[in-house]
Amino acid sequence: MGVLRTFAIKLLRLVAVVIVVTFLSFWLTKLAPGDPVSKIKPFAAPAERAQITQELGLNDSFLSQYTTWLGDFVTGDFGKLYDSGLAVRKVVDERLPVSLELMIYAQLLSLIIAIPLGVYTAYKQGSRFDGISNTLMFALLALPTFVLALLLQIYVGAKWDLLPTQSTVTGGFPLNPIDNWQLMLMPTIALAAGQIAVYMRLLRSDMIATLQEDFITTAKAKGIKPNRVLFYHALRPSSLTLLTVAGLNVGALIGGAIVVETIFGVPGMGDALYRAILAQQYPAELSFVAIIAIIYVLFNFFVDILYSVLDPRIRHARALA
Amino acid sequence: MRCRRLTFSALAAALAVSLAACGGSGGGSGSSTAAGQGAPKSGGSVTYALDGKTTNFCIPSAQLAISGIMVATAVYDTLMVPTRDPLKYAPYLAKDVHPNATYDQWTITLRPGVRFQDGTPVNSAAVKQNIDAWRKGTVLQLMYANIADVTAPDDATVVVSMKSPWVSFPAWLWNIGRVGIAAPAQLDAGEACATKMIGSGPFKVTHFDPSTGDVATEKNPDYWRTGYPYLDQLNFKISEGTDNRLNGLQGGQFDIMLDSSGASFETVKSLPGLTYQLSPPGRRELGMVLLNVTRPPLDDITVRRAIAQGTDREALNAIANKGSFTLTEQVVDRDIMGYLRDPGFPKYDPKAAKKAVNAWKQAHDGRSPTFSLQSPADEMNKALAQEVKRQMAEIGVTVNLPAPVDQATIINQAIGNQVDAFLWRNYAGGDPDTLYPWFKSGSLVNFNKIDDPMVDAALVAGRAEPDAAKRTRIYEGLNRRLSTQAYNLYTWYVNWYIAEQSDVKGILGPNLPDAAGKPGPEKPVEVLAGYHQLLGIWVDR
Repeated sequence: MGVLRTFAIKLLRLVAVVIVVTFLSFWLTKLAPGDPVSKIKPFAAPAERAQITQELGLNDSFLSQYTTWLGDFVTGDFGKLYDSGLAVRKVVDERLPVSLELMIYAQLLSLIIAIPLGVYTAYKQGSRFDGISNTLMFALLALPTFVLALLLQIYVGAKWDLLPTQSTVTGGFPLNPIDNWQLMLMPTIALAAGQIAVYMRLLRSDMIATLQEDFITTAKAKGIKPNRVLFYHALRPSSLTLLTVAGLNVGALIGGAIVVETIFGVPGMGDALYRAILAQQYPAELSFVAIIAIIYVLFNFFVDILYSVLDPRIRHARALA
Repeated sequence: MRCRRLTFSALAAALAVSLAACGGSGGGSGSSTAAGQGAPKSGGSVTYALDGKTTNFCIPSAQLAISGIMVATAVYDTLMVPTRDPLKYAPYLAKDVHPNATYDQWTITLRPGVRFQDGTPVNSAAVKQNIDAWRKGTVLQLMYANIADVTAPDDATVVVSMKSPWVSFPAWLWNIGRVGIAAPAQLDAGEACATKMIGSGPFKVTHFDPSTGDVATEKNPDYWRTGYPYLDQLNFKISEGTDNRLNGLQGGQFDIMLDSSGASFETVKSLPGLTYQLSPPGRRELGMVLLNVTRPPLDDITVRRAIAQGTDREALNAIANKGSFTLTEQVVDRDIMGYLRDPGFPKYDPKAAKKAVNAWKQAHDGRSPTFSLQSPADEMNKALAQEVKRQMAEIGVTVNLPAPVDQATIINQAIGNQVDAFLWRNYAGGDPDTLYPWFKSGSLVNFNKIDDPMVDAALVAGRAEPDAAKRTRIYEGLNRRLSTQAYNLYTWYVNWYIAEQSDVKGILGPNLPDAAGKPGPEKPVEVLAGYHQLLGIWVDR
């Protein structure tokens, strides 16, 4: 019962966050100066202008416009890109999987590298390896995503010809696993690099603290092998901060994805949002932002649930509550 | 495509080295002609990297920039095409185009047996439907407003009657590649006209994604120019940003790219394995800061001239083109009718500019002249806008830089009279009558919003004047007026170039067709504002 209640509360919070984000975004689009119809469809004939005005409810009150938009949005009507006539839903259907794929790859790559590195550098705190790793991670952290993306594209793609600099598929993204993987590798590295550094540094400091705990000393005294102590006993309680940041970092990944997708020509949501902004297609921008907000909130929702899986104390505390 | 090797160790090494210092590039190879390329081979596929997406290919309502024009060149044929003589246009889809004695009626004779890609004939009814649609088109209507009537007396003849004599009408049957003849099935398709591309051109569309702008095409096996095109597939990939296209070309993802940045051309010249075609001097496009002369303070000639005097265009040229482009002070290149040795454009003189600005401030309650400069979203243009802002600040003019937007949005803003000034390039070299819509008062695409009786009079007179010497004088007068009024802050002649893998040949294409449709003596135009033929491209692989 307690678990269900917790779940329901979290779900309600999720809905509230989405409403707040979409409301603020909607409000923001209304602050833009000028006639919205002239921006999204500059050469519309009077009849078409009237139709767009009606479609977007521009003569209605602000609140009515918002609730109408929200009602359409939750029923899957995400509006239209008026410059191309495409339904935003179609664009989302095609592009969201590509962006999610990129974000999942980036998240996985950063965790796969950061976790063993964080654990090992904590274990070997103060060693030469620890020092070198820390310096390298600081360098990665300081390197903006777009710089790394361009460096990869220029050297790995253009000069050394190891990986394709961008997709040559006209429309869509290759589903063939090898082509897909080759095209995704550089964007993934560019997006993951900064996260690796963050995750590794966080995990390292939490692990150092955990390794001072009594239960670790006990485990060592019992003769348990160091690897088991590190990866079984110490890693689990040390990974809560990492998990929190991994959830929060989805926002950074989305931001980075806009840059990375644009540079590597990855037809994802970030690229679609960028193009919509440049073309002043604000109804589409709004839907893209709302979808991105939902993804962000959902990621953190699942991270929140994972807490109780990883840390029995949280589970028990929630059960008692 | 080049062989690609991928191992984790190689990747790790690559990543490690990429974080180290940048290395130099190797020696270069290049070509500025298409001659001596061996016997063409049929077959193969080519990916052409373009600089911006086009979402609407419904010719009467489309706003085609060079990327859209290149796609349109693949899919559609125009009635006329340019030649190497800026004043001469040659029949293409038309077999013949000729005027009556007073130039107020033109007769277009069509080639027999030509069909659209949907199998319907390219006949007089179809061509009339196209021309009538241009006359109603959002942007095109002003360009064709001088047409009084279009008739189709027989299946192969179209007669276009004018309201007033129109000497250079053939130039408008090409219109920088913007008026390809579309099949009636496309024109009649309503909203789908934007995406349902059916022309009579060498390539048929197999896939068009308006979201990305990518277009895939395949050979039109029934193309009326026997033996063409050579390629089985020609795909257009939108890759915004010069560096992206250049990296894709170098990495082998793209076979051809176009660009107009002098800085990138210097890079192309230094890269091995690439060849290039450069637009020759004489009829190049212009770069400029386009000024909306209805918006204060740009409505004041004193301010416009001070801006021109205060702009160090060499510094701008260094940023955008490594200083390699030739500066211009006028609206035409040297081979175009109306070119002047000194058109009277204000010379660089920051002291005089500062003085003029100070005088203006005193007359306006101490306010600084202030305007907004809109730029496209690419890095080079943003850097240029920043530099203009800096230079203007030195003479006392305040420049605001709004958030960059895409090129199509800038056009929309300009038409809607929503911008003060923006970075732009235009006026590809051809018949000077092609300047008409850009400067005629009331024209939708008169982005400067110029309403100058002297300019209007010259445009109208030049259009109707058949005598070459008199036309020259008229356009010289127009040119001088535009420069002395500083309606635009001219920057440089733009060196468009096409860069391609060295195994991609035939970029400029075969000689233009004679009356029988076979390559005749007339050579195709060289790269003109990015445009070139596509049907002669072949790959030596």
